[in-house]
Amino acid sequence: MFGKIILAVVVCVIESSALAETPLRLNVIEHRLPNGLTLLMLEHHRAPIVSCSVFYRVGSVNEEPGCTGISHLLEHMMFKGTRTIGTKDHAREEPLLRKIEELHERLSESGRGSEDAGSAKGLKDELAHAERQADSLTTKNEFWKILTREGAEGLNAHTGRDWTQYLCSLPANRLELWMWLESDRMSGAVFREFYRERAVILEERRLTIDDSPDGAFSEQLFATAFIAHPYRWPIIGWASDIEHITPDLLRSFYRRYYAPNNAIVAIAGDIRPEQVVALANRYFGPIPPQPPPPPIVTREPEQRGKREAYLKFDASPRIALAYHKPAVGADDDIALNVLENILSSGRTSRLYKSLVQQKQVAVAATASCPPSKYPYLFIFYSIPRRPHTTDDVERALRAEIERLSREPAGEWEMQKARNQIEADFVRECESAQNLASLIGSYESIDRWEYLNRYIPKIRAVTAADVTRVVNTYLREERCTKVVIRDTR
Amino acid sequence: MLKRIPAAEARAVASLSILFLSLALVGCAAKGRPARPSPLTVPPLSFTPPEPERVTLACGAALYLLPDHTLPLFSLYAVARAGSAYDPPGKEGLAALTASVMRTGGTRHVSPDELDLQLEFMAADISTGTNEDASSLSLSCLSKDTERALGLLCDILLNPAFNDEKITLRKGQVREAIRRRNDEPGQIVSREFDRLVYGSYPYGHQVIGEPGAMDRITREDLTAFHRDYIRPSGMIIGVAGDFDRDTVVRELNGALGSAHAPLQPSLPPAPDRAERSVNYIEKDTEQAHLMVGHPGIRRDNPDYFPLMVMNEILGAGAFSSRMLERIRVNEGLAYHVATQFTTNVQTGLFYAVCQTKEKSATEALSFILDELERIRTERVTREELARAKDSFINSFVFHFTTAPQVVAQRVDLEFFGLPPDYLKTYLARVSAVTDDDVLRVAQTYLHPEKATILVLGTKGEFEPPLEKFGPVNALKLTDVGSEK
Repeated sequence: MFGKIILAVVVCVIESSALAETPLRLNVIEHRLPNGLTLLMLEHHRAPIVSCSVFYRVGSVNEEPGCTGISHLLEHMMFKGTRTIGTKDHAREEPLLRKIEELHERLSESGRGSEDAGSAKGLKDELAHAERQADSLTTKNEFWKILTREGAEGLNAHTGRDWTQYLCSLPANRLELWMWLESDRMSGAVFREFYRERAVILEERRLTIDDSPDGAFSEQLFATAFIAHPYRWPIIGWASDIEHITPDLLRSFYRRYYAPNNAIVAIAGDIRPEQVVALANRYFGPIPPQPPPPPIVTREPEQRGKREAYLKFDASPRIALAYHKPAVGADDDIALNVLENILSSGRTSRLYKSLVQQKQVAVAATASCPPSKYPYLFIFYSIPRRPHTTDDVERALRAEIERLSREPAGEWEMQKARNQIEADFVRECESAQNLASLIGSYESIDRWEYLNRYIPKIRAVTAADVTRVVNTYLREERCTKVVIRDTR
Repeated sequence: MLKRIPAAEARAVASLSILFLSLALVGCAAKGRPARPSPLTVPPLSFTPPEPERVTLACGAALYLLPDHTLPLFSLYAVARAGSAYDPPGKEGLAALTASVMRTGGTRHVSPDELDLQLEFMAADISTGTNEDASSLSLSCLSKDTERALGLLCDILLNPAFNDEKITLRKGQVREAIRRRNDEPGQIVSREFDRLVYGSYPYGHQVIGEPGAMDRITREDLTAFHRDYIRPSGMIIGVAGDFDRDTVVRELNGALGSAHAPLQPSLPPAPDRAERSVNYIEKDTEQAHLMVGHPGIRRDNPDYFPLMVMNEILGAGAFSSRMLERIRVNEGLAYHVATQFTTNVQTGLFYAVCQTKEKSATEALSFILDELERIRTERVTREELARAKDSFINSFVFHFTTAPQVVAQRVDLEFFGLPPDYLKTYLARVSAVTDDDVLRVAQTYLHPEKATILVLGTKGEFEPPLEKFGPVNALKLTDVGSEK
């Protein structure tokens, strides 16, 4: 009944050896429910709290043109309640919700010219009336209110390219409440207030992309660097796509992707694993699995020539150079992580010393190597310092890449990188909130055990490996450059 | 050397035990899944908040200590009454520049580059920060390196070299940041709002600096600011993690020496400039940005608890708040809308903030003003009050999730002059708040009729026009694009 439980012999969250050489390891306890749900548990008894995340293995990468942004819209809609939560009477509410959907459908048809203006006004009035009636049956924001009243902290959700996360920390004695609510909305969500939430997302797009220089910049970068793969569209979706998502489309997407066999529950905190397993069986156990979602078949073809995009924006100049890199788990990605540190970590890093301190062409210059499920990007980002231009910065960035392609990194730099990456990992282990997110996100894109393999692999990277990945990946023909120019 | 973690997790020592009883949820535990969450029993939470030790160092600084040997980490957090409020007129940004170059400019014993090399090789991080009231100094390192890192930190604090090249470098970065300060609408609105509400009061300018100020600041200004405002005797320090208490006390006493003349920097009270005005900044954006507010409270205001509860209901409680429920959830007009009372030594700000598409700017503004008025005229409901109070009471444990968090909290509380038993009385003070209290503080501290209204956007698109709210002052932004 309990399935396979791998209990750690030593009941502690993190073990380390007296030997300086052995890195910190996370003693995650993994349990799979019969319906395919993956449960990850990590004991962390510093404070009587539990930090819980549900990760669904779905993100913008699973979307299609015409329907981009649906994962993110779904994330918003998951807070609107279920057949039980958020409504005073679902049986009475349901026909009203259907009527609202029908009226919206007819209104958008009338917008396309098939009905006249007078009947459009009539439809609007009818719609307003139906919405008022539906609202009177709604208990607003009930999901949120229940949890925050019980002491929830950090209640939130994030949509990524590869996963969608729902997170919440609670006093440890509220774990069962969390189980009740999260399992309830895994299969019983009701998408009330849909059209207003869609409007909210359009506002979010305006705020985070349309009026944001860095948001627009990042959107342009991904759209240029990727010509085929679904990483190319923004997580929030194109505005036109968002405007055309319907409740029916949303419901299909939800049924397909929000299944226990496509979900990971990650809990870190003041827990007893056998109790957590019992609760998970009681609450998530009865939810039936769904057919596995379709795989992503589109692969980004190898880039065979530099791409450049110039973004016109009422803001100061900035530049990014992005290079295609492997997904998480590849050995080369580990070496690229070491490269990232050598290039960009602190004032002794290559980019800081050269661009910011010596040449003073930039006020900031960084490199980043994010982990991802599918091949991704190694990204240089820099802010030029007047009177220097983005061209000056590009030259300086290339000079650093060129140097690293010829001369191996020094042993001091290599050891510094190892020291910093390891110390950062120790820091990550300080809070239960962070740990729950960490193990859940890595399980979504790879396996949580990656975290325990990570430091040994980092230690094994040599200077020759770093030179090799510079020469393999940071090549002109694999480069995408995006610039906001100085037009003022 | 990494230590083996003991099998039974050690809880931090505390002198006072607080037993939490379950609130609101009663009934018998169901074997299967109950139809609603309300019958779920919540077993009592036994919780003893960790309590740091407090000592006074020989130099006069207060020191909070909380050992925690779970991970091989050590951290320190220290604050000095050295914020941007002490920038001399015309030299805005001096406090932040001093704090920044104190860290980057080396010491009398170690060159800037050597300091960075040592710290970064150890994977230790020493950083500084500045806000209106304070400059802070932080250290994070592996516990095996504590002695060395602590030594470097004390050297930075006592003997900063303020290397000329590093001053020039940082000034260049600040100038570039000022050049870029109109890139983002949110940043523009926040800055201009501060200026409108505070005027020439020391909280009114930007922490990083103002156009032209970097040209007027000299190296002597930095050394003088450091000498006058950043001294151990006036600081409050917190240490947490894997350390030996006696060793750290001894090391700090040894490094920081004996007391100097105590610092007593003070600020005059902020003027109550509250007077209704409607201000506008033209910018071609997809969204209008709105801020509505006026002077707020000092952090040590005795009405803080009822005010915290009132503000939670009004606009700080996200989906439990009136502002968000109305403007985002019911009307679909905004992604972000909230209210805030900022926490400062002298009078902070109160504001409501919102962003919405251009067309809806004035509609959203009406809703904001309406909600500000409503909470002043009607009592909040019993449900709203209970929910707000319960959320504070039930989330109290989150003040104590890590040792560094616990000490940082104590440092900040002392900085604001709050009593040592503040956390011990916290729950009782929240519980004591009544709907009468909420109404009283809403009437005392919220003044929509005297609010500064600031809107950024394209007012030709607003429906109805902005003039509906009063005569509009169009603001012209200082041109910083060519700031050298």
